[in-house]
Amino acid sequence: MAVVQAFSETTRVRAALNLFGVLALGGLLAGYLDQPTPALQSYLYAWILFLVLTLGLLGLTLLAHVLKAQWTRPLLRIFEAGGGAPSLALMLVLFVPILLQLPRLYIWADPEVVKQDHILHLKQLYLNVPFFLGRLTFFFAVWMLLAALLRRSSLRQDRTGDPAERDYRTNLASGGLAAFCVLVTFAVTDWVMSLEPHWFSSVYGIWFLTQMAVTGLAFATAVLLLQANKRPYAEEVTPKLLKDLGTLMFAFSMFWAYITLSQYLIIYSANLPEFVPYYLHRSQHGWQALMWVVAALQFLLPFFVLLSPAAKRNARIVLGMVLVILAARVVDTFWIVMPALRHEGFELRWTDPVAVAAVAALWFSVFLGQLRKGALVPSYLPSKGADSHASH
Amino acid sequence: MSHAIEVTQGPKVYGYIAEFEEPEQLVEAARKTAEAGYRDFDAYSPFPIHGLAEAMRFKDARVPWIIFVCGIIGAAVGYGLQYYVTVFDYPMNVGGRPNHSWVQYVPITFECGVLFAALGAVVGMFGLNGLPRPYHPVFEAKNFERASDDRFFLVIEASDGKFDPEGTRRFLEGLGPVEVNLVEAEEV
Repeated sequence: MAVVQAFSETTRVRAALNLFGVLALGGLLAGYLDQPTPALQSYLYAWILFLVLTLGLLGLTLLAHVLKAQWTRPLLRIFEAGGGAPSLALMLVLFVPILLQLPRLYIWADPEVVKQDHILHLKQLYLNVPFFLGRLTFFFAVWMLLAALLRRSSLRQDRTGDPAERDYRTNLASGGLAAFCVLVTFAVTDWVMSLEPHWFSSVYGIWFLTQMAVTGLAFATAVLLLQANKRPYAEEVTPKLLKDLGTLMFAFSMFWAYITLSQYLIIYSANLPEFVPYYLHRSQHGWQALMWVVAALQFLLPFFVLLSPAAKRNARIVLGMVLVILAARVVDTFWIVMPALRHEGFELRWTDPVAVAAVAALWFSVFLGQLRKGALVPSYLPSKGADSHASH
Repeated sequence: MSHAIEVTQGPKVYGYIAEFEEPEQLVEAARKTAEAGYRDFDAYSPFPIHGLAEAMRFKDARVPWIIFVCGIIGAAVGYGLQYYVTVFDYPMNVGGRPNHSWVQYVPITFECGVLFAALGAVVGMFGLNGLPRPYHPVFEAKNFERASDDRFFLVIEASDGKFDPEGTRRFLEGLGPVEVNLVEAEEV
């Protein structure tokens, strides 16, 4: 059987994705004209879902250049394609409709609400629209610059084979990773936490960083394993790589559970009136069902399945687990974002899947386009000489 | 000392030991020994060698299961202790929370699971290996002290069904060792 090249024909797929994405956005616009606020809520949810994926892949790109580990080799180009400057630019453009209708989603942007709310009035020093826009611009500028410089160096080393490129990326990514974590903390505070501006949590930044790591790694692993019988991935997907990926997925899943429970446990223990409404609201009126689905799919199932060393070496089991984890991300993000906006209890509207489909189609179109711009697996080794002896 | 005479006496033989200079040779020898159908053999090396366990077709998965069961027991003990203390032995009203506040139990339940699993790993590994063991017949073999320095050894034991004094010796010699020697069994 001839081995097929992965992602060899994407032009027509991308055209179809673009068309589908625009049509879905049109459907969403019809929903918006009918009932503006619920449609905007759906759209914000879809945007945050893909923002977490994009930033997760950017974070993993930075991590890959710092670690230079063997397991990053077949995944690096997937990280770069989804977490690159073009994907970030897409997310920035897709945020514009939200900016135009900011007070419908973020009550601190509504002068009428702020006038009657003393706490929001005091918080206006930070939570005001011009400063919000300034921060947004700054976050995206730094991320896009980092992504573009690393991507350019990575592709350049493929052509020239100059090993100095690797040291340049490691230096850039070391500082970049620290900056990335700080900026993500501020960014998710702005875009997600401020949906409930009376509430705050200091674990929020790292909570989202774990979500990003889990999402990015699960997505990249799923792409790799779904194309594992094609070139050039076929030679790369070895039992050793699978075991590494399975172990990382297991560890990130546990880290997610640790941080998620930490935030809940601290708020549960303190039992203070300004903190508990967040969880009170999310554990009743139907929202609690999502909580249990997420606990089962994001932690319990992967934990017990990936505990076994034999399961971690089995491509079908690892693929099954990363797909389960991605499903958990879709539910979890809904549980985090939507209770802040839909106060009447759990509710799924037709605009929710339409918004996700619209953003997904456009995102995948950019992703596939970027994937085609370089070799799917870098020609150079991420860590020359650090072979099997290092793993003893 | 004549090996041939002792071999014919049978029960005093523990096995044959082959000495190798390179770790790759040991892995290759272990692979061929397993392929030839031997089961009771062991490899000795100054450091862990990647792929040696696979080459020996070592498939003993008892330690992971011991770890798993110990982890479950530890988690149950951790949870049970907290449940007993806060619900039966010394119930207290803490800010109106129920006595059985399971969320608070999670960290200690988890830690006890990890503790018991780790202890299970150490005790299980030692137990299944028959450790601590102050004496082993292979210690008497020629040059064996170099197994903790720079040499690699493979021993086919006489308890193996395929073991045949002359055939096994010739088989080991065919694997390209530095030399092959007899290992005498412990006096009973």
